[in-house]
Amino acid sequence: MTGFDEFYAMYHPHVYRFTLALAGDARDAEDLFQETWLRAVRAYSPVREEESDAKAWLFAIAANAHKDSLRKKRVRRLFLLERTRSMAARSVDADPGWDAPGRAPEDGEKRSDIRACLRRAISRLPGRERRVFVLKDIEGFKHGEISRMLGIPEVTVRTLLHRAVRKLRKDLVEFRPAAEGNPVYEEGRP
Amino acid sequence: MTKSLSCRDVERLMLEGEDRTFSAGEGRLVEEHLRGCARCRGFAADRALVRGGLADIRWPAPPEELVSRTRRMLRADPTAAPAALPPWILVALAAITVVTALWLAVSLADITPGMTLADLPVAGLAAIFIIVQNALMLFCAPVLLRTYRARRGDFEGAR
Repeated sequence: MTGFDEFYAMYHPHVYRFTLALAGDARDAEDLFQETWLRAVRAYSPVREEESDAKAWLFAIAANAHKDSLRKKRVRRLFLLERTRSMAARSVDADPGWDAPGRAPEDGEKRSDIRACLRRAISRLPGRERRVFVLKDIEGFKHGEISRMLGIPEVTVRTLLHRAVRKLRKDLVEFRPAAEGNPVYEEGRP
Repeated sequence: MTKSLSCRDVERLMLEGEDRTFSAGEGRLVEEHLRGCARCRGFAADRALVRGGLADIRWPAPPEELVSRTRRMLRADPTAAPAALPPWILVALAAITVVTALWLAVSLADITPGMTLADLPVAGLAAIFIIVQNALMLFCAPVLLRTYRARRGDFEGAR
């Protein structure tokens, strides 16, 4: 267990950041974090510790756990839990969990607004697009690595990322400099 | 805009370009397209805005309480399977199931398609009632339970 303890100590901040970005709020992220580590310890082998792709392995587990959690949420929606969902949504807005407190005073209001807008926009992305986007833009993995982690073809990774980016653009319209003439891509146009 | 590349192609190429270096031909095509296409220049600008915004986020460290709680959970033999039911409970459940199934079969055997509710024997009515009641409970119990928890604000159960 000592080996896994060290493994946990080394990677838990990375896993937390990833689960926070995926889940969108601190509470769901904590569940996802625990589920990821529980699955990891069951599948862990000491050899894994030596591998350079240990982080990718953990993130693949987290992505699968995220997929499963979204599936469970869809089942709950079938049971007409609209009231619960709206309460949960309010709690997400109240507790973004994304930005650490105590940012520098020079941190502009606009930049803060962009971060808040990004957070909302990412949490609205469908699960598959969100996973690809977070792995690419927040965790910095390459398309090929994401393809192996999620078990989907590389061309699908590129398509999902493209879709995610186009959706995010629509949410960022208010932050776009008007003088530059920066129209949003419209579906169906060349 | 060039005729050879659509805006969609250019957008995808720009995303790919974040992963690898463009060939000379690709780079030239993208540049030419961007010179004549405000929409794709907008895409590039938005892409920079998103990446800048994300790079600007200072991610919080995991709460210490969560880290230690998870560590405890992992040390407590996480591979252990949930405790199995004692064998006598399984035998009792199987016996109850068999008896109930036999009773239902006998009770429903007296019912013929042409019968109205008034013609049904008491045992047949009881059997139908039990079937309907079980079906309703199976369907409604999760909804009732979760709605109750949601009203109480018990999110552990509701999430």
